[in-house]
Amino acid sequence: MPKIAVVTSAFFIASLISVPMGPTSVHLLLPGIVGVLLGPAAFLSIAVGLILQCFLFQFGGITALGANALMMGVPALICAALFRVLQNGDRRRVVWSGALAGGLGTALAAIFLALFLATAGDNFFAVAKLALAAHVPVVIIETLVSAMVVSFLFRVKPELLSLPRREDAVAVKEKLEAEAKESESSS
Amino acid sequence: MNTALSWPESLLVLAVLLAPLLLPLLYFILYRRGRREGLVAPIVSLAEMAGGDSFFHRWHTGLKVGCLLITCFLFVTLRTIPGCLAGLAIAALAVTVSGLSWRRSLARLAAMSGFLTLLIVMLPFSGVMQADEKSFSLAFLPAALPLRLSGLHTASLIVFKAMAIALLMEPMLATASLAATLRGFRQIGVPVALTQMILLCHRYIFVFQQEAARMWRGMRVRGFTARGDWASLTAIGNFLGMLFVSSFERTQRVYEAMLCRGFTGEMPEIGSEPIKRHDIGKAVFWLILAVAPLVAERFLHDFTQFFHK
Repeated sequence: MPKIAVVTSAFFIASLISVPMGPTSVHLLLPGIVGVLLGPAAFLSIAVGLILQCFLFQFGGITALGANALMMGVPALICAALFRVLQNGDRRRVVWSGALAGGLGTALAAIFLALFLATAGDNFFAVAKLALAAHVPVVIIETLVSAMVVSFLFRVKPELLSLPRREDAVAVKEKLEAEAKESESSS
Repeated sequence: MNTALSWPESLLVLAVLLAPLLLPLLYFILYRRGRREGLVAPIVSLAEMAGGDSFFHRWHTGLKVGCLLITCFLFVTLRTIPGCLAGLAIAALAVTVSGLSWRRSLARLAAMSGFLTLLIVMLPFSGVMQADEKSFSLAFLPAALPLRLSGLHTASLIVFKAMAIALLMEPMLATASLAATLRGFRQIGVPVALTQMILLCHRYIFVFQQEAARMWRGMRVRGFTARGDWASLTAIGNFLGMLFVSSFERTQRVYEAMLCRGFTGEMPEIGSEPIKRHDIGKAVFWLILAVAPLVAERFLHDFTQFFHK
């Protein structure tokens, strides 16, 4: 529990960072990358982050907390599962899976938002469509930034991506090479 | 039933539609003259004004949080413009009585203004037009794009409710320390684990904010300028990756430090706050005030028939 709380603080700060995009900038939503890094605990982390956003800035609002937690938390869980299934330890595959999870997390969050708005009645269809369209640049930026983040973590601290630690991986590789040499010399 | 509006009338309607945009404008004119430095937006601690002395500061925290939360949900159920305006007036009164700075309340309203503007601009011009529906043709828009009164009514309801609830957040959250406020939330049934996580997360937000600012300064010193190009995205990706790595490492250290101090899964409760008679009196008074707009609009609905025709 304390561990999730501390990591959530870092995600919270990361979501406040504005990434430049043309003449304007976008704020990251990060459901995909939170799912990739925290797995099933992502939902709780996102819920705590949303409560704090509501407390500190009024993003979301206290009466919409449940809807917002579903909107961001469920995509995070889907992305967590998707990343676990798609990545196979190969660097390129891990980065692609991370990028896909990052982009899909935001896209799914936008789709959930549009669905919630659409269920409010016919009057909200146009707003739902516009909300969906407004998320397209965020999805693009989020996909690219997630790819960079996952690539960095793969090189620096792969265990955060549920991959074997680098020293372990090197040790396994050396062991395999030694075994291969032994078998060659014995034959 | 369509009515064509003249140019002055159309401009007046446009001003009303864009009114939510005035909130961030007002906030920036009054409080944010300087250019923001750094990559992360500034965060103001909730406990900044906790030491004040007002109706809300002196109220039992659990009762205060419970009553204001009930008020939020009561305001959500309002269905008429006068009812919502009454709710908004009560919320504004609460901010004034609490003695808190309007800066933070305006910042909250400004944070919502984008979404509210989207609603108030889109809803009146979209949706299915009913045969007997009142609508207006604006002078600067084609006749095929009329402004539907029912759409404007729905959007206005949402805007006023959202503003009222946003204003209530300050008396609810900023009139006691966060630890006391979260104890109040526990007293009304919010799980202990959740409140403890919020408290810990709030503490470390400022630590990571400083850490992010330090890393950002380091990048700037090395000549980095954020642009929308590939190199900038790579640098920002690495920056975020480094932030996550340092947060996970700090997480382990914090957890070990907590274990060293005897942490067994539950944080100790510090201090208690007995409910006094005047706290209950305040709760009764506040709930009567909060339910008044709802009761009034249900019994005085003739007043708003104009909007329902």
